[in-house]
Amino acid sequence: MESFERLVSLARSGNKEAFGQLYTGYFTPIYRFLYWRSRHKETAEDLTQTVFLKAYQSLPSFESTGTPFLSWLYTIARNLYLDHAKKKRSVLPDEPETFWENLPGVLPSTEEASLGRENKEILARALSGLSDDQRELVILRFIEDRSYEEIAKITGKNEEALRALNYRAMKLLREKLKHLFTDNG
Amino acid sequence: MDKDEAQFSELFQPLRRVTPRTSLLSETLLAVPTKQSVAGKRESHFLYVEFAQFALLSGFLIALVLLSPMSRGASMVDEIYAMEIEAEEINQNIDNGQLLAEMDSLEFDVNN
Repeated sequence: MESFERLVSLARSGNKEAFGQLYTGYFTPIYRFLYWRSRHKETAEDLTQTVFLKAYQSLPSFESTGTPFLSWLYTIARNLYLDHAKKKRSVLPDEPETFWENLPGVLPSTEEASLGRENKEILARALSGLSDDQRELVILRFIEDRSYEEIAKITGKNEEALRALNYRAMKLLREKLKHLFTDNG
Repeated sequence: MDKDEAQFSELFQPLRRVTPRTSLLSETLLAVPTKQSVAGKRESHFLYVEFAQFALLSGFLIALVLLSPMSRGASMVDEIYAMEIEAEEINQNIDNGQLLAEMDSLEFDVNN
């Protein structure tokens, strides 16, 4: 297994295999981030592909001493998503009704899976009730498990402002979840 | 991460289970441009830069030739001879103190 720096250096010089190894390690978090941002499977797939093609082209300008590689990829993903949302003029999925049915990673038929699916739906609904900024922060902080320092680098926002935004998002989420869980039984 | 945040992090754990379909990975790798095409792009970029440099240098040389006295009919030997005479005249003027007198006269003109 090549070291990360060696892989970046090889990929920079146009080595597709080295890029493939880099790509495999970071593919899932970038897809997941775009999936929860867009709430649309096909959009997430298209944007994930574009992120990595863009990253491949921009690798010569990537400085491994500064931004961590994953944060750099998140930044590309974020900008691509914002461009996409601007073009679409809507951040809502194409068919919201089918969104809940197509949630990936759900095991069918068992009671546990059914409970898991229900919780997943409730969480996704609560998430969609947040503002775009709050949703982005909650995804990066609680789903992607990123630190405030990393999120500040990715979004270009101040750490203190992010903490305040997260405080408001958590307060809102608590209210929404309380309401949604009560409605479901 | 404080207690509240840790609770939310745990709560959102089910949403982390989202994974892309496996074929997407190989599809994206297939779409990555090959080394040759990337190198080709770089080569064409260098061709543009080299052409621009060549054009700039050629223009400069043409301008130099057109503006030189030789292009107005003077021979190189005549030009060098004229420059030698001019240098000699300046030397003589310095020796005779004529240059200083001329500078004094110029200073007087400027002051008045």
